[in-house]
Amino acid sequence: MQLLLPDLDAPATLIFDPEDRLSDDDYFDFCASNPDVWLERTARGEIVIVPPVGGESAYRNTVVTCQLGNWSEQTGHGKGFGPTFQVMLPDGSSLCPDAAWVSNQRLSGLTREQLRRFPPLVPEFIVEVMSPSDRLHAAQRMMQDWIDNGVELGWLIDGDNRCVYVYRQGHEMRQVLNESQIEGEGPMESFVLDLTDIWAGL
Amino acid sequence: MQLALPDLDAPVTLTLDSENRLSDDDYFAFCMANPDLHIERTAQGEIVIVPPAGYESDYDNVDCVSQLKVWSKRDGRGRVSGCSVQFFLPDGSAMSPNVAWLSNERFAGLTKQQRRQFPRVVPEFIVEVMSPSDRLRAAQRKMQKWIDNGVQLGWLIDGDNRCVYVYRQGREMRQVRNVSQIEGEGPIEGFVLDLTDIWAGT
Repeated sequence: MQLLLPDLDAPATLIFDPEDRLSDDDYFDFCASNPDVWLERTARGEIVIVPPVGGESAYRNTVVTCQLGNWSEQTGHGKGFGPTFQVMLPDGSSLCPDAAWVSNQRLSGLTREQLRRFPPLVPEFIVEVMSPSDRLHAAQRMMQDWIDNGVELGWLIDGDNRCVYVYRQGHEMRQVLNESQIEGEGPMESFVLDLTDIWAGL
Repeated sequence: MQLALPDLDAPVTLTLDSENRLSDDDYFAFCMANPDLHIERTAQGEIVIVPPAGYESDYDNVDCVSQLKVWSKRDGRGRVSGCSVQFFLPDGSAMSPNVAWLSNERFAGLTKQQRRQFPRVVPEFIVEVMSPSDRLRAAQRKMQKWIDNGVQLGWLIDGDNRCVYVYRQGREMRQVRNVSQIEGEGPIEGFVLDLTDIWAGT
């Protein structure tokens, strides 16, 4: 059954039978049958249809993933991922961070089969880049969900306001404003993200 | 954006941006863009996609519509519609009962355009026929919403259990079980629905 959605400028939520959540396999199949739609799932099993991001958000994302990929390759302890990477988290949600780094150690704990679907794993590090349709309080709630699920370090990047919200496991959230770069900590120590092109945008 | 839905055996709820409900016109356009789906809207603006009812439910529907139509033509005080007509109700919801009877008086109050789209009017009498995917308490809640919105008489027909739940404005809900017919009251006094074929099923 095909559903033609109205134009979305903010995420829409689809709830299937609330008393009978889609299994992980059925959820994956549902995503696979909708390759052009960005889908995620909340802890309550609600499916979120995320509107497409515009060019500038996509560019800002790429600035992050390229630098993360390079650092990841140089250091060799893990793998960098971009925004198509969806992971299944302990609280039952299934989310795609805009960028993520996962240690080889964590990856080695999964089978090939798991890695070829939505792996049940918590990245050590994630980045979310705000797009024009994102609301700050919702984005911040999402960052806290990442931390509650076990992410050790998360950056929420607000390109328009030249601000990075830093979420670190066991620490208060802090803001980094108007800096030209930001340094990693914990699992990302030695990673330095140059923010110049993100602030410049398109 | 098109979304391929999995086979549904229960209603699916789609919530668009809660701060930005679809206008009535956009909601109508959305329903028209999805003519094969049975869609309704809750008072909170959530869109509910109801799975197809299946042969037996439709058979029961047609039975009700045709009996009511025959009586209504003789009676002359109102008109009958089936499940493709959706009503915009005072609480903000948009629902289509399986059968509705609307007095000529209320019909006359509609503009030509409203008659061609989803009219903002409350039918005096509605019938809901339970389909296999319906859950009783959800169906009963829906009947109460009809009454809360101003419907004077509503029948919820449970063909499998040979039961009609009667909702009458200002009265307690009552059940009528295992009878071969049910008599109308209030706005449709004089109408008698023969339940024999509905109980027999297909």
